[in-house]
Amino acid sequence: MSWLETVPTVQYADPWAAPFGDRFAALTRRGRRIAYFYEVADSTTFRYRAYNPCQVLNAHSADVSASYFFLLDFENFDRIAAAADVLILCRVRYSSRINALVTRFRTQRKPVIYDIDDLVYDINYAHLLIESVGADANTEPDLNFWYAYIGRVNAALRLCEGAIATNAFLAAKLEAFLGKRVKVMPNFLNAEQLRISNWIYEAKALSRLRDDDRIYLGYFSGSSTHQRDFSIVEKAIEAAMRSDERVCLRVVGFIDVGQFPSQLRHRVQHLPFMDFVNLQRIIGSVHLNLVPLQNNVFTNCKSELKYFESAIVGTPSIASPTFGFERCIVDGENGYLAKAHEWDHAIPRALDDIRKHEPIAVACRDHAELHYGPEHRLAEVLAAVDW
Amino acid sequence: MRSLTSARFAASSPLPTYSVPDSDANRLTLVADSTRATLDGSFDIALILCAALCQATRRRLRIVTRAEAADSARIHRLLDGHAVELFFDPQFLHLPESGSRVGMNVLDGELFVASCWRAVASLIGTVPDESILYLLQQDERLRYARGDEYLRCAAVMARPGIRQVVSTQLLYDHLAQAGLAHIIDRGTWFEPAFPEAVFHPRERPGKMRLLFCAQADNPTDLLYLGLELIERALEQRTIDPAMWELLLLGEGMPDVDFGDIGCVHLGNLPDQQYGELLGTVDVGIYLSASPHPGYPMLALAASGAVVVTNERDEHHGLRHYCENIIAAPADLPSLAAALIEAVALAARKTLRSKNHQAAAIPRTWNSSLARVLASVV
Repeated sequence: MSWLETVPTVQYADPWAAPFGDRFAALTRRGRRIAYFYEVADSTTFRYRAYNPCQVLNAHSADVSASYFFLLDFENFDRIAAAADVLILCRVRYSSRINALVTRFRTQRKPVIYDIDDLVYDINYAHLLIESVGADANTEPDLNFWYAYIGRVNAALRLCEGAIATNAFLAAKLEAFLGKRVKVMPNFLNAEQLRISNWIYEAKALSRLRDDDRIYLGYFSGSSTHQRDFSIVEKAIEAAMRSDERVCLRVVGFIDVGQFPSQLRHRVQHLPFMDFVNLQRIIGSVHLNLVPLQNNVFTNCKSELKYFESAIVGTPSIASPTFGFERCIVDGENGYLAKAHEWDHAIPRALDDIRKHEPIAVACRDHAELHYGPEHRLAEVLAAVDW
Repeated sequence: MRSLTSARFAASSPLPTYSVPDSDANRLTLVADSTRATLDGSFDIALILCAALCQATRRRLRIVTRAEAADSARIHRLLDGHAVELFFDPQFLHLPESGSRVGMNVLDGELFVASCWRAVASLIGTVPDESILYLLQQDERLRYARGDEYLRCAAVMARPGIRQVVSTQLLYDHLAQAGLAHIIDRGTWFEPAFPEAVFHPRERPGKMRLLFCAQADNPTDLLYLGLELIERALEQRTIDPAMWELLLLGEGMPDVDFGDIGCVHLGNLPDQQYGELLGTVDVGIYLSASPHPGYPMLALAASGAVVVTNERDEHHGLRHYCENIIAAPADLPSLAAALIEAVALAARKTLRSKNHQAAAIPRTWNSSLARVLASVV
């Protein structure tokens, strides 16, 4: 029996789905109250920048409580503004309702802070952003969407008196742009991820990954904007598959793998986008997680979440040496770093280590547990909301 | 009308560019047709020059290719083989000559290296002239009959505001005397390096090896003169099939039959095999109508072979590179005599080895590119 079968699929429901009354009650539980605001809940930015910090504060802080609110809570903006001490706008776009909410807080001299995880506030970078995400800067719809998006993020950001960024690279850029104080709050795991990851890791440890002879490379894409990133490794994956017939590719999400030669396609498994809890099972089922990124000003602003989501289930990553990955991966110890021209060399090297049962899987797991578990991030979350 | 000329000269049409305010690192962009291995090694040398410039100026390297997407694995092998490192993660951009929906973003202060006149032409007007370094590895005018291409190529080569980096002093001197006097003010030159780790003699048992290198689509490679020379050498028994084997290297080599000797057609070899092959060659033949000595000739000499080649101009010999290089006028009787001399020298292992060790072919890029780096940085 494969170890994967010992960790059954979880019946998933969004853990943040709760009526306003419950969320408001969570906000008012303690003396100091932090209100996070996001337009509409999703499992990407909202989860990492609003849901997770609320979970940490509510679980581990003695005197701070927090909750998250959405545009749909419009009719309760007055109650939120009256009850909360700080408002944190998470990557929201400007609208009259956002302005109204901010105005309520400012009228009461309560701080309003902007939280952002991407370089999406400066229209000088719009063209570069459009091309980086694979959109078309020659078409009106793409231009209109992105310039409007960035312009509205910028307008909302300008309403705030400070900001929180995912890493120091983005924080420095933002501080120079905004002329206001910017703090750093890194991304980290939440309790749901940690729970299933512990289960997966234990199951893997028992089976020692000997469920079959195959060796799986994994690529996990949470959005449709990573085709150009994936193209960095396509040829290297192909070469690894050609040189060892046990090597297979497991891909999740919005990636076109149609370019693979037909004789290799039966070794490529493409799974649809899935919820973040069950995704951990699939990440745990591969031997190596591939995280190629075009190394540019945008990707240096991004967090290292693809590293720690994988490390926590004992799957080492090979990642591009962007700002975030360079700071969490020690090449050859808890993962691997590969520049854009080094993947052909990096994949076989990592596969060799895996065949020799090098302790790299244990090292990355230990590192992720120590640095990215929710309880270890309380101090940083508290510092980020202290204005 | 405009679409007609755009289609005809697509590779030299202005690149679609756009500006971005700044980035996390300064950058150097190499614009090339492709990253493929060719006998003339033009991309390889351009890559190494750019990597060295990036190291010296702490820049990120970006490689923009027109004909096809870059082969990143080959780039890794090349840099590794030549012991050149990239400090920053490189970027790759494939900009097809037509139909690309992406553009090339440009940073303030970015440096551009163009590896051929078409690449220079594609940059003119889209980036400042003073930001362009034109890497000349050939008098590119020699590729063309006197027509449209020739005129366009000559105009680009004569453009005064662009800096030139010329491979070999031989080519530099030729260009300075061949209508490009501005190169004396704006240009500099380097002698290419052939690292010992790749280019060194390799012992092998069996017959002596004669290698002829030429690329059919390179109009300055004297392919047919070389084939005639081999035929003559076999007729005259300069090359004895009982003692020699014949190898033909280069894409597009005609399927010729030299009778008893039997010859092996190698086409273009992958990088690793190229170095290994050259190290086993006893006599190499490389003939060219270019003033540039030619990378195959230098690589053969650096690998320990005796090389027969043609003299390039009346002012310069080639023995200053290595005494194992025997140059003769580009006619059959003279080259046949040179080949007799080469065969004799190849058999004198001690003298051949002494000549090889005394060769003045640079072995490290650091020393080879010092002058260029000093003038560019």
